[in-house]
Amino acid sequence: MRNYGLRRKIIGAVCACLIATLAVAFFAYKIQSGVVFEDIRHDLISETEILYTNYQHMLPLKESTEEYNNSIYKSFVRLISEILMRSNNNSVSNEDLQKICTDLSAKNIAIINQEGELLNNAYPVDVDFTRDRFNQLKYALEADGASEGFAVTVNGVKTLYFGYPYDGDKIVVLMVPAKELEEANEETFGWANLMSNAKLGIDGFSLAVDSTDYSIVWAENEELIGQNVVYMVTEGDISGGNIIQLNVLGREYYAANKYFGEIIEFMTLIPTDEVNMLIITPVIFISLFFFLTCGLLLAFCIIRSNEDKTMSQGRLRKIMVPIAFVIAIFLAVSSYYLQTLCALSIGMMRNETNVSNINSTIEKYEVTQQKITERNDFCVQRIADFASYMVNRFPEMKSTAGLATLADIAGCREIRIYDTEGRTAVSSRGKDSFVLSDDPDEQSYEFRRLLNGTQKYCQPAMPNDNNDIRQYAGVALHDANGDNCGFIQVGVIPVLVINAMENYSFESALSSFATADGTFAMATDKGEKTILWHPSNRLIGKNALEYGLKESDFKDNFNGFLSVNGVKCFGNCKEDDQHYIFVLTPESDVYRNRFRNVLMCTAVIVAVLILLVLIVPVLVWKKTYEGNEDIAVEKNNGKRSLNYQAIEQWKASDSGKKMIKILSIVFICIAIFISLLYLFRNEILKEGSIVKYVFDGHWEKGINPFSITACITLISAISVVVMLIRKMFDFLAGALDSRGETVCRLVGNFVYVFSIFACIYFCLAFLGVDTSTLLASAGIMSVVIGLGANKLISDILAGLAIVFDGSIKVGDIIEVGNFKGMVREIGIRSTKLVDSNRQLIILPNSELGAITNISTPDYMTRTYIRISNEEPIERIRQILDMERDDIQRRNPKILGGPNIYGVSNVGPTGYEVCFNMFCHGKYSSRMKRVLCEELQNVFVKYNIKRDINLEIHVDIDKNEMNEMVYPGKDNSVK
Amino acid sequence: MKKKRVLFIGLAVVLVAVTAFCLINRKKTSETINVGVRTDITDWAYYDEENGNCYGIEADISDLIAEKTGYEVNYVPVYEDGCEMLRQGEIDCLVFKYASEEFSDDILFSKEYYMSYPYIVVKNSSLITTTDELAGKPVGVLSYQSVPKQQLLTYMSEAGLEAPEFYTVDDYHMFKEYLETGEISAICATDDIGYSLVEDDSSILEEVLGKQYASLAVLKDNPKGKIILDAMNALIEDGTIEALLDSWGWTV
Repeated sequence: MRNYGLRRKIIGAVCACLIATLAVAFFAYKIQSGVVFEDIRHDLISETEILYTNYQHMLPLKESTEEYNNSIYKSFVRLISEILMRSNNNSVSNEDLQKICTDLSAKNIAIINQEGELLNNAYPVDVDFTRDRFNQLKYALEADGASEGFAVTVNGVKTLYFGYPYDGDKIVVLMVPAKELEEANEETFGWANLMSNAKLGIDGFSLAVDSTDYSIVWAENEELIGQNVVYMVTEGDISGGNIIQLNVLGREYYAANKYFGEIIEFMTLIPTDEVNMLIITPVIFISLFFFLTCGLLLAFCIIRSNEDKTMSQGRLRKIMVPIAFVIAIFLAVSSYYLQTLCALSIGMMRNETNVSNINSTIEKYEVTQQKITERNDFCVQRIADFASYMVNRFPEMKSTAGLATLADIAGCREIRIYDTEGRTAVSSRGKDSFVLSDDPDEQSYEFRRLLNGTQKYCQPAMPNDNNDIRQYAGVALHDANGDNCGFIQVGVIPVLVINAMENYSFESALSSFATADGTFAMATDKGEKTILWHPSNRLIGKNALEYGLKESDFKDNFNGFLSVNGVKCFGNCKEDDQHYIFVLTPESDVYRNRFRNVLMCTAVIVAVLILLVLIVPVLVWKKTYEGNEDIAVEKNNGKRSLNYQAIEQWKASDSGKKMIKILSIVFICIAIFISLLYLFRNEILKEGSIVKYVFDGHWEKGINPFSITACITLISAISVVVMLIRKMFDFLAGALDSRGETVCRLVGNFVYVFSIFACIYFCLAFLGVDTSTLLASAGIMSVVIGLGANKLISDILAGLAIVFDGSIKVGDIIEVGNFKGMVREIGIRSTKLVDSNRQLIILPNSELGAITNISTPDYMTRTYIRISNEEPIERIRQILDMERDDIQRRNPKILGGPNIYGVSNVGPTGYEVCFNMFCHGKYSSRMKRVLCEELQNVFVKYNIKRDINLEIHVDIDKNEMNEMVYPGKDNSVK
Repeated sequence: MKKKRVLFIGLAVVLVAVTAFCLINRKKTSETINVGVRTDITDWAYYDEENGNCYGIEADISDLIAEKTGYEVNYVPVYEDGCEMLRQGEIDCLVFKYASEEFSDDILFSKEYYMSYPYIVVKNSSLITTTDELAGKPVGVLSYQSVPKQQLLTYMSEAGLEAPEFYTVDDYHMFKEYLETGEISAICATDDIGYSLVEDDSSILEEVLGKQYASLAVLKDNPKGKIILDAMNALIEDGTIEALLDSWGWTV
C-alpha cells in the first residue's frame, strides 16, 4: 500500500493556506479599496468644491477691484477733459496732449470726433476708432459721461480704452496699457494665488481647466499650461464629473472635476500610488497575519493528527474549532487595529494638508491684503497728485467750488488746502476750520511733515473718530519762488482696503475652511490660549484650556486626539508667529468606516476559516494513517542527516511545544519585519505616514493607537535584539568549555529577563503610566524583601522561573523528592500535585528543587522476564515481530514496541530478557501493565517456557540500559 | 502512458481554445476608412496632430460607425471645406456637415442628427444688441459655411434692411482677430463654432435666423459611403447618437 508522506501534507497545507490567504486578500482588497476610493473621491470633490468656493469668493472682490481701477481711469480721462476745457484752447495740438501725457504719466491720449475719426493724438494710434468695436467710446457723447473701459488686443498688445466728452462733440480717449493692471490683478487674484496651495496628499496638485475645451489654464508646473486634459485621460469619462485617471507627465493620478456652470472648472489630482498605498498596506498586513495564523492552524492540525493516529475527523475539527475561533478573534483585533491605523493615517494626511492649506491661506491673505493696500495707496496718492496738478495749473481751482469740482471728478470725499500753519485754507466742503493736530497720537498729526519738506505723503487707511475707515493723502504746494505754501489733502473712503479687511482677514481664512466630513478649523493665540476662531461663536474669546484642550496639545506639528468642548477630535496643530491653528475632525468621523470594514473583513475571515475547518481534516485524515512514517524516513530514507538531532528533538516534543515553537518562529518573523521597517523608516516610509509618525516619536503618551503601535515596535525590536544576543552567546558557548558555556547561558538568560523588565517598563511608560513612581515602588518592594518577605518572594521568583523555564506544565507527571504525581496547578507561590491515591500535595515553589518530569511523549516502559535456555532468543524475537502489529492495534496508545531491549541477566538454566515499549509518559503506569499482559498472552499462546528458578551468574547493571531511546526506532539488542 | 494521454488531451484543449479565441476576436475586416473630423471645436472634435488622436463627439461617432461596420478609423483633420476633400477622395466621410442643396448632386447625407440656429457673435464694446443693427456692417462668415450667410441675408432682406457687408474667412480662428480689432463688427457661424468664439467681452445676439441640420456626409461614388451611411442611419434611428450628444450636454 502506498504511503502518503508528511511532505505532501505540508505542501497541501501550504497550498490550502495560500489559497485561503488569497481569498482573504482579494476580499480585503475589495473592502479596503471601496472605502479608500470613497474617501478619496470625497476628498477630491471636497477640495474641488473648496477651490470653487474660494474662486466664487474671489470673483466679486476681483470685480470690485477692477471696478475701482476703472473708476480711477474714468476720473483720469475726465480730468484730462477738464484740463483741456480749462486750457480754453480751441486748437489742441498733439504737443499739448504729449505734455499732459508727460505730466500725468499717461501712455497715450487721443481726441476723436463722434464718428470716431482721429483729430489729435499724443502718440501714434494703431487702431481705427471709426469701427463698431469702439462704439463704447463714442457712446460717451450720448451718455455725457465717462465711457466704460474696454480692452482691445492689437498685435499682441492689450490696451484699455476710456473716453470722455470734450468740447461738445469730441471725445478724449485715454489709452492705458492693460499689462500693468493685469499684473497687479494677477498678483492679487491670479490662479497662483488661488490654487498654489490647494493640493491633496503629498504630491497632489490642482488644475484650472477651461470647461469649453479642457485645456489647462493654470497649473503650478508651467509645462502643463496649455496642454489638454483630454489627452491625459487614461480611464474614466471627463465629461461626467467622475473620478478619472490621468497620466500627467508620466505619473498616474486620480482626479476629480466638477462642472459648476462656469467657463473655468477645477480639477484636483492625487497620485494613484499614494492612494494604492492606503489600500494595499492594510491588505498586505491582514493577509500576512492570516497566512501566518492559518499556517499555525494547519500545522497544529497536521501535528495532532500525526501524534494521535486514531483521531477521527470529528475530533480533529473539535480541536481546530477553538483555535480557529482564537485566530478569528486575533485577526478581527488585528483588522481593527490596522483599520484604526489606516483611518488615522488618512486623517493625519488630510489634516496636515488642511492645516498647511489654512496656514498658506492666512499667509496668502496677508500678502493679498498688503498688495491691495499698496494698490489702494498708489491710487489715493495718484488722486492727490491730480488734485495738486490741477490747483497748480489752474489757480482758480483753489476755491471751495473749484475743489468741490475736483473732488467730484476725482471721486474723493473731500479736498482741503492747508496753509503753512496747518490750518484749513480752503475746503471742498465750504467753511472748514480744521487744524492739523499737534498730538502725535492724532491721525492728522502725520501731515505736518508736508509742511516740513516732505513732498508727498499717503497715510494708511485707519478708522476715524466715528470708527469709519478713512484714508488721506497729500502733496506739498509751492509758491512761485518754490517755497512751501501749505499742502493739498484728499480724503477718500478706501473701498479696496475695506474690502480686503473684510475678505482677507485671519478669521475669513479660517471660516472659509469647511469640509463635508465635519472637519473644522480652530485658532488660538499663543499667549493666553484664547480661542480666536471656532465654528461655534460661543467659544470665540474663551480660554481653550477651559474647554478641554491641554497645554501639551499646543505645539507645532502636533498630531493626535484632543477634546474641544466635550467633543473628542483627531487633529493637527501648526504654529505661526502669533497663533496655534488646529484642524480637527471629530473622532466619529475619523473612524466612520472602521466598524463596517472590520465586520466585513472578519466575516470573510470567519467564512474562510470555517471552510478550512471543514475541508482540512478530510485531507489530513485521509492521507495520514495508512503507514507509520516520519520526517527522517521520508526525507532521508532512513539515513541520518546533519540536522537529525533537531528533527529528533522536534519529534520528541509534544504538540503544545511544537505549536509554541512555530508561534515563536512566526513572532520572530513579524518582529524582524517590524524592526527592519523601523531601521529603514526613512527609506521605506513616506512623510505623512502614520507609522513613520509613530516611529519618530512625536505622539502623546497614553492609551491610544500611537502608543500601542510604539509598544508593538518596541517589543519587536527588543525581541530581535535579545534573540540575536542569545544566539551569539549560544554560538560562543559551543566554542567554550563547560564553565564558559555556563557563563554564556547565564548571561543569555540575564539578557532575556532584563529585556522582559525593560519591555514592561517602557510599554508602561508609553501607555502613560508614571514610571518614576513605578521605580520608587520597586525600591520599596526591595526593602520589603530585605525586611523579611524573602521566603514569600523566593517562592514567587521560583514560580516565575518555573513558568518562564517551561520545564513543567499542568498535566505533567513529575517526581520531586519522595513525591510523584500529576501537576494540577502551578501557582505564584506553590505547585499542587495529585498523586496516584488522588491525594493533593502542595509544594512551595522554592522547595521544588530537582524535578523529574516523566511526561515525555517518548516514555519507555520496561519489564523483565526470565526464560528457559530451551527457548532461543531468536524465536522470541520472531514471535514478537509477528505479534507486534496486533498488540499495537489493540492498544493505540503504544507509540513503539514491544521490543526486546536486551538480555539483562544470564544463568545456567535460563536468561532474563528486558522488554520495552514506548508510550506517552502520562500513560506510563497503565502501559507497563499492558506490556506485562500482552507478553503474558504471547508467552501462553506460543507456549514459551520460562525459568522461574533462574540463578543469576552474570548480573548486568540495569542502569546501563537506561540510555536515551526514541519511539519508532528499533532499540532492541540484536 | 496515462500521463501522456492526459497531457495530449490537455494540449489539444488549449490549442482549440486559443484557436477559438483568435477566431472570435478576429477583426471582421482590416479595411480602413478616412474620417474627416474638424480640429478644435469645443466638445465636437479635438484633433491632436502629434499622435493623430481625436477626441469629442465626432470621434465618438466615428468609433460607433467603426464598431458597426468593422472598419478601422483613420482620422483626417478638416480645416476648411470637407466636401472638396470628399470629392478628392481624401476622406470617406465627413462626420459633421450641415446639409445644403448645393451639395445634393454628388454628396449623400445621412439622416439629420443635430439641429441648431446660427450664432451671431459681437463684441460688447460695439454696443450692437440686435441683428438689425448689422445692416450694412462688416460681418464675417466662414467660406465653407454657406447656410448661415444665406440665412442672414434672407433675414435682412425680409426685414427690408440693407444687406451686411460679408467678409469671407477660410479659417475660423481668424474670426477672433478680425472681431478683436474691429475689422468685422460681428461673425455669423454655426452654433458649434460660434460657441467657441464667445468670450467674456463678447455676446451672442438673439436667435433670429432659421434652423439648420447637421448630418454625416459621404460621396455618392464612394463604395464605402453606402455602408457608412447605413451604419450612421441605424445609429441615429436606434437613439445611440441622441444619447451620445446628450452625454456631452448637447441636445439635438
